[in-house]
Amino acid sequence: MSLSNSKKKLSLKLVVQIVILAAAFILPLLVSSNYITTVITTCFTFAALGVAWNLIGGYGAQISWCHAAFVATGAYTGFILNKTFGISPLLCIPIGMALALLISTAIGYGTLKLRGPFFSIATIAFAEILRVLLLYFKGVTGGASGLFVTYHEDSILNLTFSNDKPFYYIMLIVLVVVLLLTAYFEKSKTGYYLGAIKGDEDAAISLGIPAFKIKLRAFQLSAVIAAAIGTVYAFFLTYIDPMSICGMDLSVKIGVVAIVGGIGTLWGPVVGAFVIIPLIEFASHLMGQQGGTNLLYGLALMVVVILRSEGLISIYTDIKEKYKKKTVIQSGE
Amino acid sequence: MEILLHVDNISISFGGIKAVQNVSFDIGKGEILGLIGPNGSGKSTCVNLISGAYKTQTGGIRFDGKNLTDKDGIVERAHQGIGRTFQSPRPFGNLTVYNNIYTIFLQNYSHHDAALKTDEILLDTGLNNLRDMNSMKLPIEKRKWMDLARVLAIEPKLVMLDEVMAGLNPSEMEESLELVRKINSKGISVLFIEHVMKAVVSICTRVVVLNEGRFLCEGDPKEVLQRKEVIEAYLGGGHSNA
Repeated sequence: MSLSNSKKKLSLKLVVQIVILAAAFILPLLVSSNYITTVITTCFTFAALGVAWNLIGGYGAQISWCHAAFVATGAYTGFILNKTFGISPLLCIPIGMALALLISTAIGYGTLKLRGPFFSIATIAFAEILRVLLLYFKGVTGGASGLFVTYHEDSILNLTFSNDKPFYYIMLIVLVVVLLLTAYFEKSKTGYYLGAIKGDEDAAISLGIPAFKIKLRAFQLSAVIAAAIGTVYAFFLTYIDPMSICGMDLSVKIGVVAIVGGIGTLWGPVVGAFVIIPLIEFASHLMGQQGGTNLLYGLALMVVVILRSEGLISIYTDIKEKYKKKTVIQSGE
Repeated sequence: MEILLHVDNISISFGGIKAVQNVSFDIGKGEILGLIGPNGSGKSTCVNLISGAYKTQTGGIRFDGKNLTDKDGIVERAHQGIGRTFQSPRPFGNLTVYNNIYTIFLQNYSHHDAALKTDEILLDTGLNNLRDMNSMKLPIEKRKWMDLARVLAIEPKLVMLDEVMAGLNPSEMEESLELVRKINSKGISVLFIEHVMKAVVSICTRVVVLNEGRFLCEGDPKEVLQRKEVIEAYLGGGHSNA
């Protein structure tokens, strides 16, 4: 491909992305319903969490089922420090991230040397332990009753707003930052090494790639981002409890978003979130909260695994490939 | 000839099976040494011991003037210049041919320089026209070449080729031998583990024969292959008496 062609393609891609971003910024001005704003904000949140999960689950093929625990780390850090000491949630974000870094390092050291399903099993165990601890230390965490924040005034420092529009923009910015970070990660040396490890870990090690160190780095980054999102998400929800913020349901939802959208791809989790979250909303209205969502996860996973094992994003990449081939054939003629 | 690798009396057992017992040999700098022996003689286990995949239970290994210890794992030995291929090629199946090699170069070079080095290796190994192909879609011969190209990306002093000729037809074998010669001409030592004796004779300056995990003999390839004990090891004791 000539340099001018690839530059043209790059600029077209950039233009499309800028148009989508601009449309996303304008949308709340055109929509008056707070419900729709809330649903889209939830989509942004899960898209960002899915992208973070993808760093280890998709690019590294280490399927983690404990990301709710990192979200909970950020969420509880924000709520506890804000309620107890009046610290702004914005300042709580780096503290939650630091805690998630410590926790992910501890889990990673214990589990990332394991092969096969053992890492996944260990992550389930960890999330459950944290959930039980959150229930046990009710003096600090509120136990099963959970914690909530009350609205006094619109405040960016306290992340309290009378409607969800400010959270829409905050989560959109968070998603864009996470996407940019992941795009950078994909092209970084660590991103390439992780790709090699995913391809064949033994071969990668024999060629000098320190697989454990690289997987740990990806896991830490994934956990830290999830914790940062967790703090903001908690203030968006205004109420958290161990079951909803540290339960298996949330971990599965984060993983499913990435898997359905396209595991190991930059935009896959975004597509997945914008399919799964509205579907959950629809199912909740139709069939009631719990049963409906579980049925949907099962159905969505079955359909994707059978028809599109590479995720929904592969529909777009297939079309792109076909178009590319057609163009090559035509230019050859 | 200056010694690059000195294998001294190494052994390893798996349960009751003595896979390698008190094996010793040397590889000189720039030499192509053949390591031959019937199935189960311990050739691949030796490769695993040298590469650090297994830990020696007795003896030691000295590489480029330095004693390798248990702390020198596979990753560290690769960084010191010990490269290997596997009996069955093991591409990073999710990556293109180009990225299989480029990723390894990134360990020692910037993105820009790694790209230049990758282009060089692709041309050297005749894989340039396949650079954008998914590595899993390569035919077996090219997969083996890609494995080899990827090992070269660690800029090794020693490359251990584990049955690189297996499954190749005569013309592919000739091309592969040419590639090995090309690699060797750059001063890289080669440990050539092979069952195809024609290839061993044509490329190796010296061979070491193993049998049932033990050192059997060593010497000039043509001369060694005529020895009674070698023929017996390959064909069974009764055959040479027949």
